Amino acid sequence: MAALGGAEPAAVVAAPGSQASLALAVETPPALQRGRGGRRSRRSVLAALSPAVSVVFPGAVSRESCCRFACELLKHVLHQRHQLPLPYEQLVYFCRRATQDGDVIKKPTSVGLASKKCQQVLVELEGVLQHLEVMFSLTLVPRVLILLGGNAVSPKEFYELNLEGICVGSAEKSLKTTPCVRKLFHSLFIADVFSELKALPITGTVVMLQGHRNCGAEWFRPKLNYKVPTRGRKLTINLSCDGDLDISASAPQIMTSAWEDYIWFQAPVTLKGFHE
Amino acid sequence: MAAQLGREQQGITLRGSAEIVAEFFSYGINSILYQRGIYPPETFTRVQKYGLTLLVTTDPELKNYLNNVVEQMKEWLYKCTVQRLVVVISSIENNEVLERWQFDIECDKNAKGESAPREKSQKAIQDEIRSVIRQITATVTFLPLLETACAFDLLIYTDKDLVVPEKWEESGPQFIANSEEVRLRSFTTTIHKVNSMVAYKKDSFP
Amino acid sequence: MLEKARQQLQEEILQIQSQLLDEKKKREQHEALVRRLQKRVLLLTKVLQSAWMGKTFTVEIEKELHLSSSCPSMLLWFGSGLAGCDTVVSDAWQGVGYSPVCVYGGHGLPLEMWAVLERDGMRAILESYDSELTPAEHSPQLNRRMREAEEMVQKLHAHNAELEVQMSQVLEEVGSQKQRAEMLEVEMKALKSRECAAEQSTFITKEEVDTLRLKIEELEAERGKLEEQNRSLEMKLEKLTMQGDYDPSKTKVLHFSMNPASLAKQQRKEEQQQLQEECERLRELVRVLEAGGSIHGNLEGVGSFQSPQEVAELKKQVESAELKNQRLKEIFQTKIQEFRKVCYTLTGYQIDITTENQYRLTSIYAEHQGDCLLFKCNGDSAPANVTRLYSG
Repeated sequence: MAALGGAEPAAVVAAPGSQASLALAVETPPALQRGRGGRRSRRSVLAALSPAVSVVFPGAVSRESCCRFACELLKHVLHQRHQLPLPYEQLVYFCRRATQDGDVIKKPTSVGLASKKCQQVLVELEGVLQHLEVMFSLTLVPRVLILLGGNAVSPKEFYELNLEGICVGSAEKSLKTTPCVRKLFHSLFIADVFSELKALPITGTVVMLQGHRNCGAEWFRPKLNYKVPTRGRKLTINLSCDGDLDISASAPQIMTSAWEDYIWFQAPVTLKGFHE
Repeated sequence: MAAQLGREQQGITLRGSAEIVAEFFSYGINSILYQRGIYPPETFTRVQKYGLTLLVTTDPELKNYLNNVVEQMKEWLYKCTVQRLVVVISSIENNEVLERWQFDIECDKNAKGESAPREKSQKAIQDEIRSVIRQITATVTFLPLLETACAFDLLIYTDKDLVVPEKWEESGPQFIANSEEVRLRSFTTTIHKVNSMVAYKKDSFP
Repeated sequence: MLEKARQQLQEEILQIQSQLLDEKKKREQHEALVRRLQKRVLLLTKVLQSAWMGKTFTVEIEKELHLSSSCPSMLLWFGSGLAGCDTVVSDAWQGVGYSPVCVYGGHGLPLEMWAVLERDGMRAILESYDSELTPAEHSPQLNRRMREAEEMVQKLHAHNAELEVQMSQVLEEVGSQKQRAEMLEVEMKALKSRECAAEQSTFITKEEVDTLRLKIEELEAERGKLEEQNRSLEMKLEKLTMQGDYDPSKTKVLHFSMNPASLAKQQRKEEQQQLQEECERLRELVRVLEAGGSIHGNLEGVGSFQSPQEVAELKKQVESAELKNQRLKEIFQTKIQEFRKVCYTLTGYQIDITTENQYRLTSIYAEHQGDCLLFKCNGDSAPANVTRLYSG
């Protein structure tokens, strides 16, 4: 019989003396024949399996834009993955209103938007967003991770924002932030990445990012031995720049040799989601 | 709990399906009005529906208008004479149509004569509707900002031979010139299928 | 099959031979019959020599001439090549009459086996032997053996006939197969000749094939184009559908007459109109002011755009103020009158104002109307007595 990978047909000849001789040719199905060709490495197979969304900006982007990408993505993921009952800005508005004139939905102050829990979450999240801004101003950030559930090393699902392909430019020579953010979320929407996923229970969210080891980050904690998790549902969002880049405008991207200088930093706060 | 289970096992009738779809439109339109800032956020209040926190209007005039339209939709859905519902958002200044939320309705006319309800759990339909409404919320992240004061109108595409009820009149389709379109997810009750999409004025990427 | 039968028969014959030999041995005692047998044998030899063309055989009678009583009536002759046939003849037969029977198969295929039967002759011999012999113990045996031999002969005869029939059948079949083969050969020749003719026509079909191939390529290219067109049309249709396009012959678009957009439009219109009107009035005002003219009464109020609400309020205020005024007037009036009356009553004098700064003093005791004093007031000084008018 044909072995896996083999392509020669196998012939079965009947015993001599019989009236007719049978010759069976067994053909290897083409799917198996593929194995004979190049041997795919395990990593590339994994990469092919995890979904990715790629967005290309027609020009350089500023550091503030990169920060905005990370912040908006964090807020978006928290809402879409059931960790916040409303998008962040709307939640802030209603929470403030609830604490001021009493919540419309009559609930004990232990739950609902007037609750301490809600306020705490919002305060923590605001803190994370502010410190992200600080980090982006201190160092180039090639990657950001948003990890949900489990822990930072082994999360249930996580989102990787890959900024390696970004060309950072000055504010004047770069594209405006808002249209870039819109393009990013337009691509995410078209890819429809959240609808298929099952609802997540209330869980903790950890934010991690890569930065230069000497950037002087005070709030984020360096994690020297951290590696990007290989297990858990992953979505990669690749951002890059293309088109006519003003050479003087774009700061050089991180050279491959300088990679060792970039280490992972973890937010010291785990954002706990909450339900209404 | 037992009552809920009973309802779950009941199945979907034509009338039930019309109610589900009409209800979706009611909450969906409210969400659109809130998310796109057609009415100020102070005029909205939070409710729980489909396992989500949704915003509905408290403005009495608006509520009245929406009720009128949704009730009429329910009847037309039951008769399978409605093909589409469109939320047209236009600038008050110059009447330019800026956004068009379109909900295409496919109705299985065979359901009219059926005596036995169709098999689909309420939960499954709710999950599908939830996905659509989540997407409506998510569109805010990329739809162009509506900078001018806007008003909205609800257009219903019906069969040509339908009798136009009192207080209703014929209208133009109010297209957007030079638009970009995006499809949202659809949901179905097995009798009615709703395909959602949004068209918006294309703006150049600077 | 024939071989087999022959072999079988051969075997049977051998059996019988052995039996005959047995019998011969038993008959050794009958030497007295040798002479008669010799004579017979001579006769037989002569006949045999004349009948058998070219085949010579000698019948030796000197050797044991024991006639086997088991099958005296049978003589089996074999063609050339068979060993022992001469011996059989020589041993068994002496002076026996025979009639050779040649069996030929159809279509000229000679059989190698000959069977010669001379029953009557044999019987005669047997009878003669039987009469010379001492009967008793041998005759039943002999009879039995004779009968057995007879049966055997009959069987062989029947067998022979069967074989003949089979042979004829086989030959018939062979004949028909040959015919068929010939027919097929003819057909094949015909086909070959046709093929040759067809080969010439394949040159034509090759051209046809080429043209057909070209046509297929053309059609496939067309199909590819049509598929592309179809795809682009479908995409266009999808886009139009998403934009809200519809078939007016099947669909119409309705909306609630009192809808927010039209209401907003209405409001906008009204606002615009109001603003336009105000604009006009302001322009007029500006013109007039620039021209330096006085402000007309009806323009006075234009400067300040007062909403109807304010106007109504002001009107109300004015009304209430006027009412108050009226009231106050009335109260003052009554109070002044009261006061003057009291003064007159208490002091006895009534003071009236006749004209500006002129006062008239009248006593209560005055007899005539004209009895009064007139005083004039010049600023701060006390009123000076003007005239004393007592009587008119």
